[in-house]
Amino acid sequence: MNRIQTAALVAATMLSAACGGTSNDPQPVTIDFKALVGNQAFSCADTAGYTIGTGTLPWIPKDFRFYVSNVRLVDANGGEAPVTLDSSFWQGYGVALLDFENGTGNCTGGTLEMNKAVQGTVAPGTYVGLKFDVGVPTASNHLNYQAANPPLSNSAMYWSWTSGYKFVKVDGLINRATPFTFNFHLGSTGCTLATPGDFSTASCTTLNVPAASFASFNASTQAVALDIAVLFASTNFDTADGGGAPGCMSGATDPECAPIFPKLGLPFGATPPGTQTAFRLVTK
Amino acid sequence: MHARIGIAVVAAALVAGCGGGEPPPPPGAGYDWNLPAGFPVPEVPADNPMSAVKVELGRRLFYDTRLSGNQTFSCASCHRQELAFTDGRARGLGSTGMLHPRGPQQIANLAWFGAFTWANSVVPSLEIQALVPMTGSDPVELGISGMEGLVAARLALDPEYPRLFRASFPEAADPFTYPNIAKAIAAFERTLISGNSPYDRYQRGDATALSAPARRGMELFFSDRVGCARCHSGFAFTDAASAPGAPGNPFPFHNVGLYDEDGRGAYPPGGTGLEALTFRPEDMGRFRTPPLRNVAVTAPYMHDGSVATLSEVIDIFAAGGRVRMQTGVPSPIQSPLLRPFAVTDAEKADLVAFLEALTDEVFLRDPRFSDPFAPR
Repeated sequence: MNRIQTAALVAATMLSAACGGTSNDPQPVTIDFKALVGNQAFSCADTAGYTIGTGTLPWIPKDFRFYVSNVRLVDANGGEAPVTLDSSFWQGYGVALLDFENGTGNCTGGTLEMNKAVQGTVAPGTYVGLKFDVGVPTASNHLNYQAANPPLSNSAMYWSWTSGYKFVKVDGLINRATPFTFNFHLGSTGCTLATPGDFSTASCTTLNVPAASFASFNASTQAVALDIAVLFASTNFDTADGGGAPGCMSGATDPECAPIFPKLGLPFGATPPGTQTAFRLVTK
Repeated sequence: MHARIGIAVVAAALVAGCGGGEPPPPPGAGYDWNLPAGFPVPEVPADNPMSAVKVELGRRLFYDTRLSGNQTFSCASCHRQELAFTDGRARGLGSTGMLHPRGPQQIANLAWFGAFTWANSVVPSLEIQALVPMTGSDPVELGISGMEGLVAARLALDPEYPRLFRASFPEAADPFTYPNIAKAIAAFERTLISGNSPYDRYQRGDATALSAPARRGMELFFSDRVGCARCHSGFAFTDAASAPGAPGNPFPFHNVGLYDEDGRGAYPPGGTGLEALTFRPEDMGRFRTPPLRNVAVTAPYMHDGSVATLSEVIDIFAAGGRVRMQTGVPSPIQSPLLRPFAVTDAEKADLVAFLEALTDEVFLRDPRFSDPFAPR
């Protein structure tokens, strides 16, 4: 019911904008997200896992969460209107946490609650496209999460050793001879504080913030999907970890990152960035 | 034993409950630190004031194996009191058997530190540092990541914890949170104060506390020629610690020329120091200056345990670094504070005698820091 309501709101927004409505009040907007494995919906209940990547061993769900920020709608002239995110358990600091795990199956580190939409307001207008970043902007990425408000108060998403956040946490269990957790943790690296102890002076050499851009987007009929069959298309879960962190945890030389980063449009070492393909638009 | 702890908790809770309406005291000032002479009152984060009950909670959590994913490890598994909270290993071993690239750090006098772990410039507090071993996945130490809910549920079933959490965090509607676990452990760690070594007693006026060799070693230690105190400075014997308000070294990370893998000063993977965090070539091999109290019981030495004895450590520093000792050429990026010095065998023995006089036997056996679950 909630979904129908919000979809109706978006439709109303577009309608009033299209009719040259007189109100200059910000209009509500809801952008639905989906977690996909190919064309199948991701679910922690699928404890047999998904056969994805170049190998044969299934990837069994353990976690699927990510942050988005800098959400903008784009008008026909390419003008960008920032979406002001509503304040909620899932949104704050200009950041929204999308959460597709529900704590069941092997997703034992998760929570029952899920969040599958970004909600906010945008200046009145007619919009045809969508842009957003994946992750947390540097200005908010380094703080004491214990004193932070949601969604940056999430301990599972906090990357303690960098005092920052995991932008994407998509973890799977691989039942090799010795069960192996293939972590995929994306986050900013090469970070320093210009003034020791002062998080507001943080800067990072490697932001690792993917950008998604869709020239044609209809919020009332379409959703944004993160497809892990694409994200891990070049990954072989059969083979032993080649070094660095177990899986890819954004280490500068972690061999497991090289096949994954280009799928998000990120460069990795000598691997050029390319275009992100892991996020795509799907029918709701 | 449970009953005794219970009474202490009730008493502490009562005390905390009195004085309603008055402004809260400064977070560090109201606590009975039992400080050794010459040790300044530590600064405490405003959102984590000290209390006796919180320290007791933190102590239990520190020693509780339920705080690991597979219930086999606690903080104390790698941080053993009798070894100044190290474990005697060159490199730590996590709860799932994963070998840590570096060795467990000693834990004493952390209340005055501005930098934690072997090399990290962006983790500024014990409250955040405590999360690293709990939730880290590379390496897995306590292995809680992915099991946060399960571990919290385990603790909630304990007959003591719910009361201890409520008394420690009386303002919180739900005190059973991960931040609060870290805060309680941090509060306990701040009480791990070591300042009763023979050297400390000598400083306080007991002329007999130090042997003649130790006194000679002390002179050498602080001398410009040997120069240990260039980095092992201050009351905690490290430039990573300072008194509140005192000018500390904001960047207490140094390359002491242990490795040069590529002619440009590279350290082996897993032990590249601050470089692993910042990616800056100039941070290669830079590590935080280790504090030296109780150093005699924390062998083997260096981040990777690659030096077995204090005598060998002195040899390395006398040579101006291990690279220089082995090849005659220093690492191109080693600290300029590292200056070779000539040292006789007798002087070396004196230096070792001084370092051994930094062992605080009271600290290593203090029942306040011991395992509360151990049979008495």
